[in-house]
Amino acid sequence: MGTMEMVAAADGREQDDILLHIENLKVGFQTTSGFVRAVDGVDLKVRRGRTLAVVGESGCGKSITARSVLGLLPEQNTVMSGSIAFKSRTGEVLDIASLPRRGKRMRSIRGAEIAMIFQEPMTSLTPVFTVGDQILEALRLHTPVRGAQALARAIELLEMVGIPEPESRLKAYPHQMSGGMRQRVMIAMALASNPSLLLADEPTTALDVTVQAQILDLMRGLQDELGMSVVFITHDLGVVAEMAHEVAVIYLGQVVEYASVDDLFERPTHPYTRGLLNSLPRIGATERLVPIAGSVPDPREHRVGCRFADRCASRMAKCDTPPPLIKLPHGQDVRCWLHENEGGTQS
Amino acid sequence: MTNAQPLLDVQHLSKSFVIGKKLLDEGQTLRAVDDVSFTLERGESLGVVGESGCGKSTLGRTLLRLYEPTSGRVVLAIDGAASDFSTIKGEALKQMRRKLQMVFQDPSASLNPRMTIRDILREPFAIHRHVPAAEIEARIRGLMAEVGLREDALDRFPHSFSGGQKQRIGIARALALEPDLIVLDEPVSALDVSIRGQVLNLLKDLQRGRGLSYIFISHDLAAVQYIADRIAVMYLGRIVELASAQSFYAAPRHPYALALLSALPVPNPKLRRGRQPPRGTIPSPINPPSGCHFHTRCPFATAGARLHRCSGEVPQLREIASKHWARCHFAEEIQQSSLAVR
Ligand SMILES: Nc1ncnc2c1ncn2[C@@H]1O[C@H](COP(=O)(O)OP(=O)(O)OP(=O)(O)O)[C@@H](O)[C@H]1O
Ligand SMILES: Nc1ncnc2c1ncn2[C@@H]1O[C@H](COP(=O)(O)OP(=O)(O)O)[C@@H](O)[C@H]1O
Ligand code: SF4
Ligand SMILES: [Mg+2]
Ligand SMILES: [Mg+2]
Repeated sequence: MGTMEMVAAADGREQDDILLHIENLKVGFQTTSGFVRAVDGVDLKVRRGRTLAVVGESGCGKSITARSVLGLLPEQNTVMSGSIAFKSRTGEVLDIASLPRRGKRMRSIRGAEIAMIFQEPMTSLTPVFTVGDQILEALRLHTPVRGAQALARAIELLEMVGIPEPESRLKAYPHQMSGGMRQRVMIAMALASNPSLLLADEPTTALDVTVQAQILDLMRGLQDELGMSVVFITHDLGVVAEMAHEVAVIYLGQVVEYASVDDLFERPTHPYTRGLLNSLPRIGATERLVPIAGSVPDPREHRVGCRFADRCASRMAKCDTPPPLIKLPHGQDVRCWLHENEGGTQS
Repeated sequence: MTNAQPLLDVQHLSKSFVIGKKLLDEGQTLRAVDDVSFTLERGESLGVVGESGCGKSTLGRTLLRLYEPTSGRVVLAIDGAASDFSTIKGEALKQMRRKLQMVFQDPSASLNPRMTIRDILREPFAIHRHVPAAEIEARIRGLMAEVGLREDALDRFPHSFSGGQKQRIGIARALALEPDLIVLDEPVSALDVSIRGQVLNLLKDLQRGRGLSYIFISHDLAAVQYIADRIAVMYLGRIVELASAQSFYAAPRHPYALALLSALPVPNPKLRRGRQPPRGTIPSPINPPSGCHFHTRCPFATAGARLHRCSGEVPQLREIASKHWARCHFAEEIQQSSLAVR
């Protein structure tokens, strides 16, 4: 096989392997104070059985990207374009971006094939129903399981997420549980339908470190066991290193770097990624931090050129033109002109 | 008086709250801070770490008399005179207060939205009158420069600033009275990664430049290491470990401290460890476990004679190594050398 054919074959295998492919996703909000460019051309691939971490500072569009995948954006003032290709259980590839949000197809995917968990478990839990009722409801909505079987499955789910005495816990209300327990219940509900994709939006940000460690362990174990794909949104680079196979670093609504987790930490390449890592205090290190200057700008500002330019120490004249996502030879993508001449293909 | 006296000498400080008190119901006592003792030298910073609800904020607030202590003493050595800050009143209290300031986690909540930045920074001068009126404006400008804000920000209102900028304003306000000690309660927890780094550097520079003492409260063990000379770990109201940062991070001696350190996600995928987070979650502080509060989760006290001792006998804060105290019956056996290199 020649090199070109090998690349083509690898691409073909990669295609089979891809569960979710977001291309050029743009989401904007019309507000009284201007147009908010929340997501500004995001490209992401999620592979089967893998965890993609999406990392960036607040306001960079992480949550909105995830919500777009579930059709959970506000309907009134949202402008959305791009494609979100999802390989459904039936084998067909659907463009979620073009499905009617409340349509039957979307409802058969949301919560069933793609589930989501949030930072605040009470986003998904209702205070007035018991944990058991809520899990049974999730089963009723998204699976054919009913009756005694459903009850057994609910107990099994609570057991799976490490809740002791699951049978008696079915009768508990969310407020009778600790934050970590509620997080476990939310995960149990999300997993009720055996989703192939789990979107986790900062699921451990509000938890204490020891409880966070328990939940991260749990999520890793469940992924191994169930073989699902996970999109793990976080701003914590420590959590990225613990959880991810691949990482997308996002800044002002764009992916600025995409790499395997080992490459990202060994060879952080985009000035923003490098800046984030240099902003972090680390145990055992004593050098002075070199944090990124300035702060994330208002997404309502119109920006030409590289989105990161006004905070970037390497800025050049060329940076007034928007850099493409450059594919580096060893399989890392970076949106920065500094790497223009190292690159293979550009997109 | 000599300089040998520590700035702060905290002796057996406790703060309890009574919860659920009704007409005929006496309610229950929650010991948020339980017999805490430590000293703090001038220019030194103590990091206070521990998980939610362990009493960090209550300790900070009780030290500053934002809460009245239930028992214990806080001896302060200021301007060459030592006095018990926990009992003084009136003008003396007001004068002492000037020397002790606090910075909070949520920069938005701690700034009055209807005041301009100039007015916010002018307020401490107006209350304490420690600076002649003609000099105040120059002082305010100096503070802005010191915390890295531009003077043209002075006429704007808090809402037009980012979280990091608001935190800088909060720090400038604390500095206005030229304090000796600042209690920083999770000052960077609400900030983005890059801004957190900026504010940590600012705090470090201010401390060096002004010879300030800090009590730096945080649940982020890496941020604490960056700022603090010494570390106090709290669990359910008690200090369970107290040591120099160097000694602590090299060889923590309390199983809870060990658990905290091993639970911390490290930004290096090569160090993904098969870790062992402690079992369960923090018990209720209203009826804390008997003996050692940590015995219900401790990997060293799961059965037999150890469990018997740990659940029956309250361990004292003992000096295990030079200037390194731990509140564990078995602290001598606890070793964790692998934590040193990350
Ligand atoms: N004013 C109050 N009245 C009653 N209980 C209180 C009061 N303030 C604090 N507590 C209780 O005292 C204990 C210690 O609380 P504190 O706020 O000091 O914890 P913390 O370590 O600062 O936690 P966090 O990390 O969540 O800020 C908690 O159980 C809390 O619920
Ligand atoms: N419904 C909305 N209307 C207007 N702006 C919004 C709305 N939802 C989110 N935004 C804005 O879109 C940007 C991206 O938001 P988000 O995806 O939540 O960021 P992240 O999760 O990365 O912190 C932010 O500037 C946010 O303020
Ligand atoms: S393109 Fe230019 S401004 Fe943007 S990150 Fe690269 S060097 Fe910096
Ligand atoms: Mg978000
Ligand atoms: Mg607190």
